Parts: sequence; C-alpha cells; structure tokens
Amino acid sequence: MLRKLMKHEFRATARLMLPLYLAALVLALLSRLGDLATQHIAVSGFNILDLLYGIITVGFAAALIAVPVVAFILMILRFRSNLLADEGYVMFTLPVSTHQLVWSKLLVSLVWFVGAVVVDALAVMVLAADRAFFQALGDLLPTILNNLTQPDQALLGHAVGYTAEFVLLCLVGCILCCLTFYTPLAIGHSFDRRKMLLSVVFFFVIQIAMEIISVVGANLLFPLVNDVTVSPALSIHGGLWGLILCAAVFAGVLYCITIRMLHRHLNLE
Amino acid sequence: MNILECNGLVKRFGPTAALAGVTFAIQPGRIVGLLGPNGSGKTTLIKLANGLLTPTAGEILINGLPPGQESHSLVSYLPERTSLPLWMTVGQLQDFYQDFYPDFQRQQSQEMLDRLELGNKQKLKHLSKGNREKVQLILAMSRKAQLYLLDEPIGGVDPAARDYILDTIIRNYNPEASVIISTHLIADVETVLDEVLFINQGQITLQSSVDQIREEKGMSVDALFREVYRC
Repeated sequence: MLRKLMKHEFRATARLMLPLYLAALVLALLSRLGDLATQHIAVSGFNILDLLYGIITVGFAAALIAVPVVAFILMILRFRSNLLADEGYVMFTLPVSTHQLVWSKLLVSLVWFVGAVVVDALAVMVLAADRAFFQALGDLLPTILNNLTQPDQALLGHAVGYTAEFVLLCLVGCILCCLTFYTPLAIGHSFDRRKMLLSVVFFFVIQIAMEIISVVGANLLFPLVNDVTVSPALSIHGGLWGLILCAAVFAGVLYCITIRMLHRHLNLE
Repeated sequence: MNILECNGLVKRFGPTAALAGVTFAIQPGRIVGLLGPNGSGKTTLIKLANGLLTPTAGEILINGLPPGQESHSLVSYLPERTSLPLWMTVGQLQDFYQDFYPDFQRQQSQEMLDRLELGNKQKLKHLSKGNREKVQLILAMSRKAQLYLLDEPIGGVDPAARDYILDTIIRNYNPEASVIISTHLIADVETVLDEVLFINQGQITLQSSVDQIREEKGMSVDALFREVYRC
C-alpha cells in the first residue's frame, strides 16, 4: 500500500516538480548558448541578443532558486492539504495505516529534495562546464582510479566512510526537516480554531525545545568525549555519527508525536 | 454478526458531549436512516465509524472490528463535503479508487460517469459543485462494500439532483450490505428506508423499522420526526 500511496503522491507532485526541473535545465542550456553567442558575435551598442541573454540569465537564476524552494514548499503544502484539510476525509479512510500515509509523504519529499540538488548541480555544470573543466575532469579521473587501486586501504576506507556518513546525514537531515514542519502542523490542526496560527506557534515551540536540548546535550556530552583519545580521522567519523544519531533521535521523537496526533487527535473540519 | 455496533459510545469536544452514551446495532442488508436535526451528533457518529475521530468512552465496531485499516476496506464512505483532490481528472480518481479498493467496480463507475457525460480527462476543479458531488457519490457507490456510510448525501442539492442521488444509491449498493444515510430531509429518503435511528442531543431516541412506525404509530416517518422534534 505504501507503494500505491507513493505512486499517487508522485502523481500529485510531479506535475509541478518535473516541469520545474526541465525548465532549470533548459534555461541553463540557453544561458550557455547565449554566453557562447555573445562571445562570438560581436555587435557594438545595444542588440537584441544581449537583451535575450539577460532575460535568460535572470530566468535561469530564478529557476535555480525555485527548484529547491518549490520542493520545500510542496512538502509542507502536500502534508497540510492532503492530510489535514478536506482531502483528509479520503486519505484517512483508505485501507492504509497512518504510518504509511506519513512515510509516503516523507519519502516522496526526500526524492524531490535529492532531485533538486542533482538538477541544480547539473544546471550549474551545463552553464559553467567548458573545455578546461572537462580537461580537469579527465585528469582527475585517472588519479581517483589510481588511488582506488593503491594499497592504502585505510585512506580509501575513510574516504568511502566519510562520503557514506555524509550522505546518510543529509538523508536523515531531510527527514528531520520534513518532520519539523509535519509535527507542528499535526498539533496545530488538532484544535478547533486558528489551526494555522497554532501550527506556527508550535513550530517555534518545537524549534526552541530542540535548540535547548541540543545545547544541554552537547554540554553534557563534550566533557565525556574530550577524555577519549582517538586519531583525527576517527574523531571525524565520531562527529558525523554523533550528528546522524542526534538527527535520528529528534526525527524519531517528532515522528511519534506526528503519528499520535494524526491517529488519536485528528480533527478535520 | 452486526455490521455496525455501538456500545455506550461517548464523544466529547471539551465540555460538550456530541454523543452521550449511544448504544445500537445494525444488521447486514438494511437501509437505515440516521435522522436528527442539525447538531444532533449524526456526523460525529459517522466520523467515529470511519476512525476520523476517537471515542472518549465506549466502543464502535464495524463487523466486529474497531475502526481502522481493516475496517476501512469494508466501509464505503461519502463525506458531507466534497473531499476529492481537485487537481485530479475523473479518470485518475477512478485509478485511485481501483488501486486502493479491490471491491471497486470500474466498469459500473465508468457507465455512471458516461451517463453524466463526464469525460475521464476532465479535471475535478473544472466541474460544477453539483457534478463534483455526483462524481464523489458514483465513486463511493461503485464499491461492493459491506457498509455504506453516507453523510448528508442529499443536503444542499436541488430536487432533481436528490432524485439522481437516491436513484444511484438504490441501484448500485451491494444488496448484502447495509446503507446508513444521515439526513434531516426525511420526506425525500423515507421511501427507500427499511429502518430509522432517531438521534437527538447525542442520544439515540428511537430505533425502529419503517413498517413498524407506520403500523404502530399510524403515521409516516416524516410526520413522526416532525412531531418528535417540534420546536
């Protein structure tokens, strides 16, 4: 059922996100072409190419910003409109669990966030990549391959570990980001009136609570960690795993509150 | 087994009791009118049966199951307000129902939509309010569910639309299932009902078959309702 929920969630969101992704890439390509055109066609004074190039560049910059921003806004709007407004009557009477409903939203948002990063990176690459870039890339690849086949396994292990830990931290961070909005929305909408206002209030309450817990937790934890002597490479692993654990614990608590509110205190209008 | 059963069901919103100890049972194969004035607790009862609210006390059971994931596959629910996603097309809505409800009869639904001349590519947001309500009704009645919970299906619609809605319900419901129609427009639904539940101020004041009311009281359900709820 989670697969079916995700299919329909993708259907609901892709109609906005896919054209936006495409627009960012097309505008990047047009910007690049415009850049090449203005370099090679020298016309003195005002000309239509310069104007067009300017418009495309502004559009590209706007699209670059819009991709992650729209993914972020869509994450919040879909949760509210699909679960807490009128559509909630359909969604909460489907033969699915509340966990599946929330996970479908989280996973689809995660996909769009990752997509936004990939599309923005691709768009910048399309705009900036020139012969020198590809030459540098061509030089770098053999070095990387060479390092991978060298017997310095410890270095390789750390590099792979850091990358995996960083990716995991980003993914857990994205889930936590979604839940820091889902939880206050779920709490705020359990009231009869001023649902959005209360959601905003609870958002700040949760943010402040998380800040306090983080500061207190760090103050308690650092003296203990300071006494442990480890290599710098291992301490970076420790730091990354500490951040992953913190984000996972916060996400876990917020997830439980969200499920509890949706399951026991749902209050559709 | 009773298809719907309430035992001492209580639902409070703060100090207000929307339902104050409701107890009744509905057998399968009955068309039941849940009749009461505005604010009597009809919608609260239907929401509780759908798991959209949690009881303060007592229990409500669907075919012996508490409302939840399992009971949702047995119940076809028509909410009081249009709640289908407006961005979806009529075809996508049918896909949606077909995906989640194995008992959804796509052909039956398509035939009803064709009769209304609603194309599969039409978006819900481009339809009139009346047609949106009809699409929602068609989707709900195209399931071979065991219990149909219809909350105010004829509230706020013109007499011609009322006839269409009641006709759709009667022609399409699963004969082995029970249908609960919540309304305060008694005269319009009286002819299709087997049984009535009168609800007032969160309490069931009468549960009786329509024939019994006519025989024992010598009056129609509508006349009895007007007498009971006279202001």
